[in-house]
Amino acid sequence: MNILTCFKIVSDLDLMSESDWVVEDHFRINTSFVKNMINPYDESALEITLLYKEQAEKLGSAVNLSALTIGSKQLDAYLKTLYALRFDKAVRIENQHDLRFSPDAISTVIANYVKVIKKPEVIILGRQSGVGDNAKTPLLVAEHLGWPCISQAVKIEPASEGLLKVSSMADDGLVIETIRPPCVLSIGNAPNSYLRIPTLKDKVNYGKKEIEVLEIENYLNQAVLEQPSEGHNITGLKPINHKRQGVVIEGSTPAEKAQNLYHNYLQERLKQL
Amino acid sequence: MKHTIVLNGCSETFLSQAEEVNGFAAAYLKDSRADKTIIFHCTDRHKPFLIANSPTPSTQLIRLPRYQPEIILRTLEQLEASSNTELYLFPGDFAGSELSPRLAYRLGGSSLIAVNKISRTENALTCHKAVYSNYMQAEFKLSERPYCISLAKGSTDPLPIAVENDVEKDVSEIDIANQEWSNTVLSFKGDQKSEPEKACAHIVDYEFVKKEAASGLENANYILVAGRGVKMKEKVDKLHTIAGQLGAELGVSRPVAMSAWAPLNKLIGVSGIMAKPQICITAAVSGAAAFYTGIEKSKLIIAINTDRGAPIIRASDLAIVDDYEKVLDELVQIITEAQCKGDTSL
Ligand SMILES: Cc1cc2nc3c(=O)[nH]c(=O)nc-3n(C[C@H](O)[C@H](O)[C@H](O)COP(=O)(O)OP(=O)(O)OC[C@H]3O[C@@H](n4cnc5c(N)ncnc54)[C@H](O)[C@@H]3O)c2cc1C
Repeated sequence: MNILTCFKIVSDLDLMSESDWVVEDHFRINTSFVKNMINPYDESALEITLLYKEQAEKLGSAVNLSALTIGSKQLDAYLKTLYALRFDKAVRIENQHDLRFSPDAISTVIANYVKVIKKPEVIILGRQSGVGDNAKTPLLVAEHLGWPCISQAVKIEPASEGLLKVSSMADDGLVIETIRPPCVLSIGNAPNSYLRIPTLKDKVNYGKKEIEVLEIENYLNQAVLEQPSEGHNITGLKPINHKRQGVVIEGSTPAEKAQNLYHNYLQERLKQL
Repeated sequence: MKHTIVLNGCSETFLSQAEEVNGFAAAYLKDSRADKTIIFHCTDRHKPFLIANSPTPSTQLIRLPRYQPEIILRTLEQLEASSNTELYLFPGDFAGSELSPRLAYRLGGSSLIAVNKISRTENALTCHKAVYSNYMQAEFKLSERPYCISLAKGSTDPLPIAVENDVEKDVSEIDIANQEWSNTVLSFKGDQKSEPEKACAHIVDYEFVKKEAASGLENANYILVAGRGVKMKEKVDKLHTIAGQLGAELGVSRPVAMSAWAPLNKLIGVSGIMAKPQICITAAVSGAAAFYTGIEKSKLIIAINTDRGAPIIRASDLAIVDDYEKVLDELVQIITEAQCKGDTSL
């Protein structure tokens, strides 16, 4: 089985302070001074991919894993980590264009890449990432390829004869399906799916493999890249104000603070509940 | 403008979907003409309930074996190909968010997920939604019709469907569960297999496990939320007990749910439950925007955090800068004593 897992590196927006949210030209926001991280849903996608491979190999079936990201050279460190975690191939499609709100462009690139390499039977991606918050990429990859898509997937297990057992969250329960690839799996809130850390030995032995770097222009037309035609355009951007009074309840001990909270603020309100 | 609502009647959440979309339409689509509501459903037993709670006078019921996005998309694609609906409105649940962009793709329209406000301008639909993990609000102009949008959960107040006894509901029905798709309504031809079979050809086996009882958090009056700062499952369990003693429901932040220290149905925030309690106490939560959106409708927010600089402090009404466990232990003691004295209604 050939699996392609796609992931995005994002700034850890929770580290931005209030005054950092400055809207620049073209509705850009400079987030470059906070640390990067793998988008949480994509992190789950990568770990679920590794868990799948472990299980499939125990059952004697071979699994070939590729990881793909779209962006600049800075991302190579993450791809090296994935080599150390025993991904077989790490690919970066070089991009400098602003595709924050262009899930259709991103999904076209991924689908075209898949059409060219003809390999993966399964594509795994996180359901959403926290810059564009578009939540459309996996769905549109499926549409571009004409493949089915299971969204909100939380667990992927090997089944017999090249089939996959996929558990996914529905609005009122859990769906467990045995499916025949090809398919796109969009990963939702999957507990216990933080990405493992490679051992030092694996970093040394595997982390230095060459990353395949491709040009985005080979997968998306230049005109679209310069002006992605998503059927929607961003026309405004402003910070959301979450401020409230923030009255700090004073006291010299936790007991005093709790007393103060209860007697001055909570007691009456609790009676009204 | 002419709009169509699409609801998943196979789910037990049907009523909340209908009321969510109805509230949004009442707020932002007053001048639009509701074309119809398309309701996918699985059993005839629920038909009267679905029709009664359809947000529009005209309803199209489509019966299928179960909620299955591939079948639903094929049906909508066929049915709506020649429709002149400008806007398709989907609820903000899992189903709505997966169907809306895929339908837009198939109908050559444009889509946006988690929309919290819309307005109409000439030749475009202006949509607002949160971006940058809910730190920013963006405005987008959608230009390709039909516009297919799903709503941002909890962004508008749900509105119960008005019962109008004198208005005859116009209902049409299609049955895909029993009927071959190659009928006149859905003009699929040629193949041996029926369309539902083809759309589901990738599924070899299917099982559905119903959700454990709802956590009650959506409608709770009083909630206590545990954040990653509680550091381990045992402490979350302890907070569960404390919540019981305080008369509150327990909720958790994403890292707590993702570490499996609490079930996912306790998750508060954009990825989980949007709560709207009278009182919300957060314990060891930093106040990231994606979390905060899930409690911002609370009347009173009380934050307990050791870090005076944590964003939740400024985003709360009242804050205690201290160890959450010590403060809550004390609070439980005070409330228990007050109860013994008959001091409180708890
Ligand atoms: C697309 C996307 C969707 C997301 N959706 C959600 C969502 O729905 N819900 C959600 O919660 N998150 C969501 N997140 C994650 C979110 O960005 C934050 O990472 C998360 O909310 C942080 O959780 P936390 O506050 O519990 O943990 P942290 O940010 O680690 O905060 C822990 C806090 O505990 C305090 N603390 C530590 N010890 C103590 C102590 N003894 N007493 C008191 N305080 C203490 C610390 O000072 C700190 O402020 C999402 C992220 C993305 C990218």
